[in-house]
Amino acid sequence: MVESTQSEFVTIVSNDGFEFIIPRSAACVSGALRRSLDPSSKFPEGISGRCELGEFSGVVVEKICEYFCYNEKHKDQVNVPDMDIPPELCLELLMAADFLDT
Amino acid sequence: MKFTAIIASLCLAAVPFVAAEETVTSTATTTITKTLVRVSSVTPTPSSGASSSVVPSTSMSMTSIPLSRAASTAATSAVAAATSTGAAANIGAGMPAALAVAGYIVVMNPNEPGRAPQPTRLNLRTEIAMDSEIPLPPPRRIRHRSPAKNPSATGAAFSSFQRAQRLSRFDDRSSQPSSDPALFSSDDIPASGLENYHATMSGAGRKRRYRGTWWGEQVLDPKRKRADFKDKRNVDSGVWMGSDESGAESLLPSEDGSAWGEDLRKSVLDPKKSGSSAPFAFEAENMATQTRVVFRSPEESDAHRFAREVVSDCLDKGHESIDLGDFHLGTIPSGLLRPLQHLTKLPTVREAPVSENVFTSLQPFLHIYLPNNSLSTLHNDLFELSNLKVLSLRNNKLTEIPSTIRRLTALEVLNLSVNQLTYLPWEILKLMQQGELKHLTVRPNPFHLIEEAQIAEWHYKPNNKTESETDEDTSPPLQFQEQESSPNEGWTPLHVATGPITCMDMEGNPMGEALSRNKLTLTPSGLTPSVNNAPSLREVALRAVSKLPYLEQTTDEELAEYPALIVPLLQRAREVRAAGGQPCSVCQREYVIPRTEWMEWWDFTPCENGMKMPRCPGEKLRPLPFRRVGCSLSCVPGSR
Repeated sequence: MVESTQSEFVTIVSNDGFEFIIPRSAACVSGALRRSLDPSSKFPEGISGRCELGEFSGVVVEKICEYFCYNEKHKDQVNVPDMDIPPELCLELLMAADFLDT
Repeated sequence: MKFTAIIASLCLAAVPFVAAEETVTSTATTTITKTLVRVSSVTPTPSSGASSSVVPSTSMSMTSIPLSRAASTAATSAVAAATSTGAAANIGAGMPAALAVAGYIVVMNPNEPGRAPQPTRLNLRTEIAMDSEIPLPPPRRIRHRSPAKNPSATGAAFSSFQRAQRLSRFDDRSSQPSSDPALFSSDDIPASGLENYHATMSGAGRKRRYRGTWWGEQVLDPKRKRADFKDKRNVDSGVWMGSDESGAESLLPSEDGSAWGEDLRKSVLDPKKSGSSAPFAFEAENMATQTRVVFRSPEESDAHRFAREVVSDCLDKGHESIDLGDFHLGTIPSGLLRPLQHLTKLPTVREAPVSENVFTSLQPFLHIYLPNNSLSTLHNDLFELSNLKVLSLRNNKLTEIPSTIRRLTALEVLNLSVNQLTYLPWEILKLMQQGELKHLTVRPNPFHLIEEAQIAEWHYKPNNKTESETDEDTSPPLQFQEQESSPNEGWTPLHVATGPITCMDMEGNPMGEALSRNKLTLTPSGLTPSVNNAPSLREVALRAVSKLPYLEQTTDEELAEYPALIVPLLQRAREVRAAGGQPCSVCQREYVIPRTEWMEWWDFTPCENGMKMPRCPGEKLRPLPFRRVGCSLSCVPGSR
């Protein structure tokens, strides 16, 4: 899946300018990101490897990226521990989950 | 007229001092300054009419002198008093004149703000003289010692006015107090002086008692005792009793909210009639109307009311058996069953001889009978009764038994016959395997028939059939065969078959390819690489949401303000929360959105018979469908 031209990492940018560099495989947990980051889709995100989430602030995007890594890490585990989510981010993360299709 | 004589003599004595030196004034020290302050604050306030009209009512029993007359007769002496100390002697000569001066001077005072200290001395004297009257209530304001406020006008005029002003405090509350009297005990309350201790006055020999609060409130009717104070007491004593534990609405289910509110209202309206605190009554009245709204909807049906009466009767008498049959209950009203958690069994008292079986456990084991009603859903309260031993829901309209039934761990007998059930929750099976449930009556119900259902795998493989999956066309292996390996097998529930797995997407909707995965899921290698064991971000966030403390209080209206995308999810989380959590049937973790769902077919014929007899060899199995739900795509049969 990872082509030679493709970098191993992608950059997720929040609407207030925070950049999060995460493994491409982790970002592909999200259906929306997977499709937009696919180089064959000819989206600008796919070519540059830089994806801007213009609707979410840095705090939320940080949590999203944390979830990506959490998902990546526990993908094949049987007993998955709960991820800690602060209550104030719950609703925004629900919206983000809908947006990111994850 | 003793004190007028004193005034006169003192005034006369004072004259040379004043003429001679200023220092004498300062020797008068604090008492003088206090008096000055008191007088100075008096000056601007009153209208002469008001103050002078009060004068006649002084405790010194002066004869009443109309201001007009007094002013006219003593006009000259008043002017003299304002200008010279000689006037003080005049004042001393006759008290009526002095009073007249008082009335007169007050009018002119504002015009002459700055004054010589001479009158002050007089003022001091008169102060002493008049201190034989009532000790005033302590001051309302902090006293000022500001020297800027120097006394004005003649002391005589002031002292008499001041007296009038003081008295007016008792009569007319709207008038300002003259000045600030002593605040602390260290301050000089002149009346406490020794020289006034034996002061004679009219009506002497009787102590003037002050009734009222220290900040100056007067008792309106001193005769009235605190008798009616009792009436003002609230119904709620504010003392928490152990019996209050579950709240009024649940402890007193039959004494419904409105009756309770009426009681409260009555008790509250009584003091209102007797004329006491109207605001309190109003407040409590509000409370009464509120409680009615909160505790009971006004259109509660008769059935609910009767049911509440039955429950409260059982609570009162300590009966463990609550029979709510044939009540035509469409729903179980909230708060009906909750108080049964606190049902206290009464010890049975018998006549002698006392035998051993008198001593029984006082732990109540509830029997709730709800047959022949129209229940279509079960309230979560029902599943909070951890002491429930017998539950009969016969002949209702239930279509589903919530998985929350797992919380009835003491359940021994369950009757679900004559309902609309097509399957049972898997948790009932757990109650049979791990709990106390021994007697389960579920037929007749329109259950899915194993003969018609789609079966992914047969678990109970009789010896003569080695490969049951291959010959599904033939009759299913439903003959019980005794196996020497487990002698208990005749009693225990028997897993016969497993149905296909329905996978749900992250929203909880069935996925399209579910059918194609039927066979795959049962073999570990069949798990496609895309299957992710980690919960989705939605699920992770929803689990966090379901732990929020205020989730239960959120109403639908409040939810509607959230983005429409997440409202159904939030509602779901709230339902799960109301049901007290929802553990995955495979991994036991709490979840919100189920991802997998399948049927398992179990046979528990011995339990249906009430454990009277084990299965006989060759007996036909009659497995029943149990719905089982998993929290993730990896929580599927065979994964553990």
